[in-house]
Amino acid sequence: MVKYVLKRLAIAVLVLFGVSVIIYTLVRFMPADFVDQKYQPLIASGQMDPSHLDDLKELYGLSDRSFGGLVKGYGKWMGNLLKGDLGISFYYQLPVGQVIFQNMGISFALAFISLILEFLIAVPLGIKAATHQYGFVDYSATVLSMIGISLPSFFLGAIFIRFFAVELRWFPVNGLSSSGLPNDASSWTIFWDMAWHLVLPMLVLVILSIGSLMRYTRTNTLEVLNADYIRTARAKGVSEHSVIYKHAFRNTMIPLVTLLAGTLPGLFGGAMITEQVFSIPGIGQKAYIALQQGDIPFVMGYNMFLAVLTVIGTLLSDLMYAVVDPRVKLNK
Amino acid sequence: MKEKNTEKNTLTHKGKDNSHYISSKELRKIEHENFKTVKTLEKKKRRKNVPESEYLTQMRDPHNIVEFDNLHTYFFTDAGVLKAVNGVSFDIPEKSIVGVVGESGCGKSITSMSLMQLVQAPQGQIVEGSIRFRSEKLIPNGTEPMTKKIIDENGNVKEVPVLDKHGKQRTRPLYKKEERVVDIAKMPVSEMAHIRGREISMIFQEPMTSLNPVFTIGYQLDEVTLLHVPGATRADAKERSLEMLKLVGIAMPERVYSSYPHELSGGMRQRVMIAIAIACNPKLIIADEPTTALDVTIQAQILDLLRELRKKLDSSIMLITHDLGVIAEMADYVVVMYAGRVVEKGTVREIFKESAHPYTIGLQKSKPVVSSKVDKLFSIPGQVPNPINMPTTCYFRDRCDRCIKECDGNYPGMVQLSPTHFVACHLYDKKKEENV
Repeated sequence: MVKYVLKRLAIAVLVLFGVSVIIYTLVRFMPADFVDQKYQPLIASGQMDPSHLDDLKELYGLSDRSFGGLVKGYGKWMGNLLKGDLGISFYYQLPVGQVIFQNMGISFALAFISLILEFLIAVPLGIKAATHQYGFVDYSATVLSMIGISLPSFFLGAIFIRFFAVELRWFPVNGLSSSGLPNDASSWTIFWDMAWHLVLPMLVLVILSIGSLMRYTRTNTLEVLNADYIRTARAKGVSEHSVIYKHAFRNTMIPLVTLLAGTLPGLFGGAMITEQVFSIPGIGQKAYIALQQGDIPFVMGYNMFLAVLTVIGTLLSDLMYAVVDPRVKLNK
Repeated sequence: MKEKNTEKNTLTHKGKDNSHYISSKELRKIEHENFKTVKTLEKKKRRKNVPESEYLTQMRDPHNIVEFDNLHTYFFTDAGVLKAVNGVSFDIPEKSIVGVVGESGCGKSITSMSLMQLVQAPQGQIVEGSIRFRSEKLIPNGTEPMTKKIIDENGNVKEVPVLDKHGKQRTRPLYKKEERVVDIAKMPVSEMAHIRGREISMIFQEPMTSLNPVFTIGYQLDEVTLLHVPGATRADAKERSLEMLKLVGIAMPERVYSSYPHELSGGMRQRVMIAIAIACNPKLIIADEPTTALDVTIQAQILDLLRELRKKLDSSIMLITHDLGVIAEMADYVVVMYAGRVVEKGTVREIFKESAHPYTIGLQKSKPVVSSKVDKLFSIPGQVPNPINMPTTCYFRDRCDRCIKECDGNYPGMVQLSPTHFVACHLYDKKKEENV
């Protein structure tokens, strides 16, 4: 087991190296870089001499777009990374690591609670739909989940804002805290205020992700319920309830548990579009702005962070397989 | 009413030259009819608090343990109503092995599944007929303090009371058995769970997939005891399970007890399946092609084991197979099925030595014999008619080499050739008249 994990980690280093090369190349080939984005308006209005642009690009290390320049830039970034330094964000003017970790909390809270809600709703619903196949529950759950899968998050988010925030005024339009909050508010009040602000984005995240998980559970349960060992369990005299929630569920759970481990990058990486729609200052929104601005160090740092999480998530899901399925042994 | 619906379906098909073709209009009609019938049947099955009088009945012959009487099990498919079991009647006497033979798809397995109420619902439904079973109901009858035997330091066996976590002595509920005859075809699902595994148990064809891969053998074996033996503790169940594993000839019961199904071979798994089946001393064991998936040497071992267990446990066995050799060796009575109906039934001697139905004779001819040399193995020409549009004539007519003009008439009735020997064939109609 330990040997297997070590081997997988060694491979992970290679994967991450490849990922970093690809991301760096892509970011450098973006048509407008950070300096262009920031100073073009000044040049257009005549407040800045265009000749200064090249000096600035030189300063940011963006001037040489030849192959050699790319390799040099990448080497510099890699060298800093090996020293444990992700660089300074162009746009936020702070160390990249600091920006990521400062903004991760709220994104994590949002994603974590939605994930729990998603599993709590989707899994029982999927099982119900499977046991009542072609019944009322099945058809209505299928239709609703299809709607959930097909709706884009910005669209559903906008509808929710319009309906629940603007028309009904039940929830705030966006942000994380009310402007009318007194300065000396207790931390409890602040917490409730924040929770109140997070209801709509959470609802959007849950509704959008419930569909696929529910369909997945339904398909899996149906498959398991048709298995020979379920017939054996029934033939033994096990009650229908135990057949479904004990004999079948343990088998349905196998792919679900591994799916759970795969959600790791989503948990910490933030929901880019939803955070943007609701103006939640999470890591997703920060990354969205940085990407628009061509902030190379931040985009690199953020994407590498996601890549590391993905690699760990995959490894975890493989390890989970061995935990939940006695047939899987990891001793290579 | 239902019969009428299905007849209508059949009629609409017959107008077409190609019976496999269904127009969308017909399809909708079939779906509609199916939905209606299945819904009413399912509703009836899932009712709660069904009065006992509805499914209590009497045996025709008290020596029988199971009596199938005109059983009809249909599958309501999108292509029409598939009559998988179409009027099957036969008995399983006490302490006997009844072999059911027939080619694939003739309704052998569905007959046994009907007996267990395991037919794949909602498509599969028992629509008519009855399955009478002599059941023993457990009725609560006081409690008894629990004790266990331990060996003290002097080596003497002592009985000490079993205490629960509050320090009080645990009690075991006592039950008395009351014999009653139930009609399984009309029994609600909740009641059936008490019969499954305790009074009727089943050994399946596929040992490789019939055990739950995520539970240990021990867990799956213990479950039967815990479910059906009132007041059984985990320790009791384990003891019983180990005993069962020993009984089915597993050399290292302790090790098998704690292993997972994938760690065992096919033969071992089938032994475990048998151990599960016999854990509660059932009155009837249904063995649905128990040896088909195993290699020949293991087959022989498993059959020997079944025969041995029958002697030890005094239970009946319903042995379903398409292997005539197995039947000849094991069975006391044989039922030959063809296209969802019984074509011939009798004692094993009558079926093999005095076989009457052309289908039975054909089956025997198509069995390879080691001592004789033939160029080509005999096979019955043609194939089973499409089960959705069954003709009203004898189903075997188009494949039969001994057809007479009566065969163009209705499906032949059962003719009694001897007290135990019955055949459904027009060739013997004359004999019936002579007898009368």
